[in-house]
Amino acid sequence: MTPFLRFEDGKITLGNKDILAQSAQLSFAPSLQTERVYGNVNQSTLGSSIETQSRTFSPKAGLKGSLAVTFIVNEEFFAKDSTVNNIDSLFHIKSGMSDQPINGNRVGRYLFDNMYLKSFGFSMQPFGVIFAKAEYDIYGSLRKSPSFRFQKLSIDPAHALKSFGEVKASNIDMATYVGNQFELNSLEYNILVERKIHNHIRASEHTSINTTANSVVPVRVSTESIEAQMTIKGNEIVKNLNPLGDAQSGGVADGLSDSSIAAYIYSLAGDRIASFSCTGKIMSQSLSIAEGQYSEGTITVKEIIK
Amino acid sequence: MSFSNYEQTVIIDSIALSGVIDVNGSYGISERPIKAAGVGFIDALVDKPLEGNFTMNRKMVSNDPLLKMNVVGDYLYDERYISGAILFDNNTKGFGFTKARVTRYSVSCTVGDLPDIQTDFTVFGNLGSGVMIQEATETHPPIQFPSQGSISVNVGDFTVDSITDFSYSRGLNLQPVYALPRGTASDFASADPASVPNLDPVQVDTLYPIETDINFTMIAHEYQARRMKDNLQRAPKTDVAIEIRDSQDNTMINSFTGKNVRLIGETTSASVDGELTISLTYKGYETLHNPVS
Repeated sequence: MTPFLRFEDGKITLGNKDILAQSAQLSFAPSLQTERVYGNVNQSTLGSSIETQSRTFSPKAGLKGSLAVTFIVNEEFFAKDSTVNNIDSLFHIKSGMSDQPINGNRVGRYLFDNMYLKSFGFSMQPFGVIFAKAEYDIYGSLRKSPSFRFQKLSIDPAHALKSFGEVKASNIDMATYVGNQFELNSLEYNILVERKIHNHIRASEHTSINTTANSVVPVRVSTESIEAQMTIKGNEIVKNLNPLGDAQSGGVADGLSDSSIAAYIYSLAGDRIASFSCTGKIMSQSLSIAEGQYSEGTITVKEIIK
Repeated sequence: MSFSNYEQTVIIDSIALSGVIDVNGSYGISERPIKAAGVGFIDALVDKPLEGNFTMNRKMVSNDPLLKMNVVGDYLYDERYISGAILFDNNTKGFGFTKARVTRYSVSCTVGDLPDIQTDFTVFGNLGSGVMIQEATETHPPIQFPSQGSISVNVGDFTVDSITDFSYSRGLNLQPVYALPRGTASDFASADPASVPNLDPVQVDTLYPIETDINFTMIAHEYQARRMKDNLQRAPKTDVAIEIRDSQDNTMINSFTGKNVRLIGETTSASVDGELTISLTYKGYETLHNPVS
């Protein structure tokens, strides 16, 4: 076994499913608090030469880690034709999603459990392969195992050549609303879930927790809030943006529809993979022009899912 | 079955060109290797828009149909798409292109030869067999031949000696803008492709300034090379005009003018094989709507 693991041998598995990862960043950090005990007060110097008698680190919480993974979006990762795929829960953040942890995870030679999806996102650029990114919180420790590899003989990934986007300002097609051809330079989707961890005091106090490196792990990690956000870059921004985050062309601000950005993901072969949308308020927009570049507008729409 | 040179016709913007020496068209697909952890290489997939290239070399035997100008005197090819094809088999088959833009237009000539015209295109539309199979619909300008006595190079700030060769070149830097495909929820619901696939750029802009390079070689009579340091400090600008006229009736065939061009190089050459020659190199910049002086 060579000391350094090659990319081709470092399989990445989430929830016992092998994924086509481009990169992964696994990190752990104990939450330690420094404790200092002072002593040996020298009264002749009025206490100005107090010595630190002991120094210790005490854990404030259980071991917490994180995983950030960038991967190729394949149709097997998502529901296809409204049929829920068993790998859905790895990447789909939705209202009513399960509080159950994702177990059976591997990054190269290391295994770990108790993982919870924190964010998912992807971006589309013209003619580019669509890569997605996901971030997870991990509670507990990790184990070592031999490395594995797997075979993938062919691939039909999500690709911006066939995928497309749609933007509506207060439910009016953007091109109609701005009265001009509206083109998208890029599209980015991000969904973020805020979680709350629950620990049982008695369980955490028991000395048995120190018999494994996992130590204290939460008994439940519940979903507190879910927010989706989509950002597009294009040739126009929304005119008549009002303080409510709506596009207001007329004289009445009430009752305007929400704005929306949608991404419809197709594979390179033209098969549907998934659709993502964000319907809500325009949270920000900007326009920039610089030497050697075009005037480019950026619009961000946010949706509160939970 | 093969097709000889006399069975081929080169059509550019609906005109069958004369004087064509060779035409070359090509395209190349840019791929990105896809690798995954634990697998390695899986496939290579298209990662950039497809753009083609087309080059054409001609002898100047008429007023060049490509050199049409707009009302303010700018070449139309600076900002306009061009289409064309090589037709053969009685103009029923061909290799053509659409949405091409000129990236370089150059003319060169030496004593004893007809001027050569080289034109480079970048193709943003389609390129290949069966594209633009249309016969010429516009009339070619009358055939005219220059001779070495009917070609002149005039420089604004001195009288040139006998010219032995010249070259004139305009290089255009283009910036295509590509956009994501556009579609609707109903397209996705019915598993249809994007309503607007946006395979071609939504806009192609010329990055100004357009650089003009003019070079000519004189047999030294009166002209004397300038002192390098003087030229650096003065940096004078002048106009250089190349006029190519019909050898019989002296009417203008094509003319090329470099306005406010700056002398950026001089080469004096002496050898046992010939006379003392001086080569002058000028460079100019053409702007969009802010004329430099």
